[in-house]
Amino acid sequence: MKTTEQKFKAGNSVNANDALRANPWYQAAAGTAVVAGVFSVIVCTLLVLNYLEGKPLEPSDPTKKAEPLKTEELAKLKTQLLSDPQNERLIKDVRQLDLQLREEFFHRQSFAEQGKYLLLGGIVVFLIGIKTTAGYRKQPPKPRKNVNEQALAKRNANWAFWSASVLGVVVGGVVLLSIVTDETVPTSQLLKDIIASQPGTEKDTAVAAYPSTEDIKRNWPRFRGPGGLGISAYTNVPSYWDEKSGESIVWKSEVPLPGENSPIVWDGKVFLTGADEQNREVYCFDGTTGKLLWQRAVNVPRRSSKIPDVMEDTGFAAPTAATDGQRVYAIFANGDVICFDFAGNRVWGRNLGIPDSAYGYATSLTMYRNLLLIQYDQATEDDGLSEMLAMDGGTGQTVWQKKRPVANSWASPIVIDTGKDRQLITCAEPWVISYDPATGDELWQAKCLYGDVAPSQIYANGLVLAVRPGEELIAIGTGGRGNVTESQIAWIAEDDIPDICSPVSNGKLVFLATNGTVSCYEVKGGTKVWTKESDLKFEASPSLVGDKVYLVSNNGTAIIIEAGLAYKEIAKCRLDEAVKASPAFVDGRIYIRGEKHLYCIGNKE
Amino acid sequence: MGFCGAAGAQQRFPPPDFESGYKLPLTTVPPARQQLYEYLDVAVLLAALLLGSYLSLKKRSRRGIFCLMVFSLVYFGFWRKGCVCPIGAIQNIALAFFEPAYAIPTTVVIFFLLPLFFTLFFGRTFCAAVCPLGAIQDVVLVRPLQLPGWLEHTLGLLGYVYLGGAVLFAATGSAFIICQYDPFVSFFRLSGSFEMLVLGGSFLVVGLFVGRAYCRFLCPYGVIMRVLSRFSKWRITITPKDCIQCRLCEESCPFGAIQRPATAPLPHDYRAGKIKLITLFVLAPIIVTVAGRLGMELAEPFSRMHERVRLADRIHMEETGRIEGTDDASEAFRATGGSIAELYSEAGQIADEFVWGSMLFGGFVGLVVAGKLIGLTVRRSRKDYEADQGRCLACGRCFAYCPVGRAERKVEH
Repeated sequence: MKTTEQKFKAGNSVNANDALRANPWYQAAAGTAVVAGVFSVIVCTLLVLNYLEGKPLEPSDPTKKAEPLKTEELAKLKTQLLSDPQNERLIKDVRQLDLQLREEFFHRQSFAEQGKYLLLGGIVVFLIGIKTTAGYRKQPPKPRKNVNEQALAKRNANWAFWSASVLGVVVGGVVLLSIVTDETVPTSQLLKDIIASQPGTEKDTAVAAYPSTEDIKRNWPRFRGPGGLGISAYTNVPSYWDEKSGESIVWKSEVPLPGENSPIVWDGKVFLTGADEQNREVYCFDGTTGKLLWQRAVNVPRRSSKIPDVMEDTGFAAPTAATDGQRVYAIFANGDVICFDFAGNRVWGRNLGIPDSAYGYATSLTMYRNLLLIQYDQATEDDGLSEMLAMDGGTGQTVWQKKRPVANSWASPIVIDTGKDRQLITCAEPWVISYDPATGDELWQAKCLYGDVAPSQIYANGLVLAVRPGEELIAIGTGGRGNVTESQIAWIAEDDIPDICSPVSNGKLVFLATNGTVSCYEVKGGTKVWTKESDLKFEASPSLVGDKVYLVSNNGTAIIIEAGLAYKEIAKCRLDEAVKASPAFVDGRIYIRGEKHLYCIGNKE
Repeated sequence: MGFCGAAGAQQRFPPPDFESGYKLPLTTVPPARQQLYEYLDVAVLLAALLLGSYLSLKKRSRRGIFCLMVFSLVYFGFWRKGCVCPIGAIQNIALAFFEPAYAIPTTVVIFFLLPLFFTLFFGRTFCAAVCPLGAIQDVVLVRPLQLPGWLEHTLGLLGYVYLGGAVLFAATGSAFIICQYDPFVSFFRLSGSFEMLVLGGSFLVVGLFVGRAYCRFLCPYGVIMRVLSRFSKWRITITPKDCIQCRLCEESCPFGAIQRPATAPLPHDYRAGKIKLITLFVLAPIIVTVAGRLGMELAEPFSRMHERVRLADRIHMEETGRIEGTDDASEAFRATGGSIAELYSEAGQIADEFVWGSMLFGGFVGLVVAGKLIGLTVRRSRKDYEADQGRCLACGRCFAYCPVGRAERKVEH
């Protein structure tokens, strides 16, 4: 039952509505509002459709801006055109589609341009209409019934108080919770750590994070082992093996990607790298079982995605990796330098830019204390692109960097201990240059090289033995400073000089291997001791194990000879795979990388 | 409207891969706006403020205020495209204060100070008739709803947080968030990102029913105005003479800025209030300290608003292999051959600045919350219906509801 008051109000309302309906201005305003509203909705819908139509079909990344020409159809036509560039019909199709897409784009632009003004106009008219209508429907003010203002004010204040308190507590709680549950290391802290670990800071100078000489000697941490000299600290390695019979072959594991680099070993872990045009990988094998412990792809941010131009013989992974006992470092033909810890966690990576190398980059890495040394020789000596870099092993940050007046080269640098100082020796046409490995300061240089310098230098009996490929073996004293070309070259030998293999020396004699000969010179005076012609071709460098020289030839056959004044073959060993990498020698084991496999040679028991 | 703006945004794509005979025009940069026009803007602002103050205080004309508001919407909004504006000028002032190398234009300083100066004397006449952001919300208000008082008070705190954040990010040179997240500037320019247009559209749809939501709950400049207008020498009143307690104006304000008469608290309420107040005064330093400490913990995410920190973060992730590939920023940085170590060092320094800045920000928010709680505990007696000194936007809607004012106008006419 409606009360009298309600009936009265209802009656008033009906009368008011009737009056409004009779008011032509009200009717006009309401009608205008409805029409303008409907018009605005239609225009808005069309604009939305127009907008969505222009969006790229990249649901994976909705933040990307529309690229009107990025259509599958056009991309497909362009790909076809690449393989058939003279096809006139294809050219016409590409042009037509390109034009069509552009026309569609500008049509959408034009539509949106006009539509937005139409929509703006529609909204303005709608607002005028709706506000006018609201003005007609406006009711006179009706004060509420008397309320207890005192109680109302108190209640409002209390509610406001508690809602503000709750808001404060909730916001504080959320912040606190996010802090407690956030396990990630703050970026600023990471940055501070990195800055703190920069060379030259207190932290760096206080703690020398590099292995001892003894640790290095126990292992095979770089190309040609400790010091890059090709000398094994162990003599308990097999002096015979044969893959066919399986004698002394402990295990053989497949290496996923090809590479000419040699194995390095640290505390039972064997590291290799492999690469093809698209992929670059670092491998860690268990030295005992041959199991591939981890395999890591190398993805380093780089300035160019260009594939380096390399010779097939060089490949994309010719440089041998290096380790400091905590981390393993690798470099590839495209200039990617990468660092992993022994568990396979990436520590850092950077790209040095694709090197301009005639056959492809092949210089191996060298460590000096905590510094990773990279001889990055490129192009010709006049191009000014070659340089020597020292990076902090922990962070990959450049510690020093020196331009080198040399051409591209393939020899690997070595760090020698002369008894008075440490010297970093590098070879490339036309200079043998010695640097202070800690600072990069140039100590001396000798102009004596020519051609594509690939054999790496060694240090024996106080002399640096550098190789002018195929031409000369040059002995240089290390005591000079500045240009020592005239003063420090002790002797030059000219027969049976290798163009790829590096020499090896026991201090008294130096042994050389070429494609077809094995020869021996005296270190002191450079007098030839003997030469033996061989039907074997060598690219892997010879190694010295006690009083024996191990030479592994390209076809997998290895000869072991006496490191003496006369040529004497002790054994001939065989692997069924081509070998170009130099072997690694550790306690009781030899690791040889074949074309597809990594071999472990040792006493099986 | 949002979609049309988004669709109208600039899109670029490459020239054809083949020769078409078409010659691409040279890229041109529009010339800088002449200084004269900058001062013209200042002159228009001054004139609008004077006129707005006259219309609200002397003339008491809602219609006049509305017309001026529409003019301001067209001039400062659609014509000047929402820039320069006093709200965004907060950031220029903050940056100029903390970064001596930043040369702030005189006109920006004037734009920042002039409305504040007027507020000190005439109340929030800038909000009433001159601010284009307020105007666009005001014109779409069709059916205002009254929000409960407690919600009004609580949401009102957000503006202080926004102000604190805007000053922090501007002072550190990180971002001008007020401009970046201005919900209406996309409409003024008829162009903008889809997200911002949707945000602005949402504000306007809400604005059909909730009057000037941005002004009341978010505007950082409004927060400063709110404080200053409490000290204004002259300000808008509901009635031109004495209030006759007719209560007709009670529901007239769509912004909840009319305060009802209130009697002094009863003795037992007074005692309880006093204890509560003392407790809050004791707690206030603790609240500020805790908030400051919590703010400090936000330094990390806050610092990422700075592009150098973001870049260092990105480069670091790339260098350590946590992400693959590069983005535009890291690609550009690498192309410059800049030192990563120096970038890290710079980012580290910025991160340190954020530790202090965030602590101050947290402390400021704590202070605001504590102040609000104290303010809500204090009960003031009031005899008449009055416009809230801080919250009144001086829009003049209440004029029409006051029979005293109507009678006076009849007499005048």
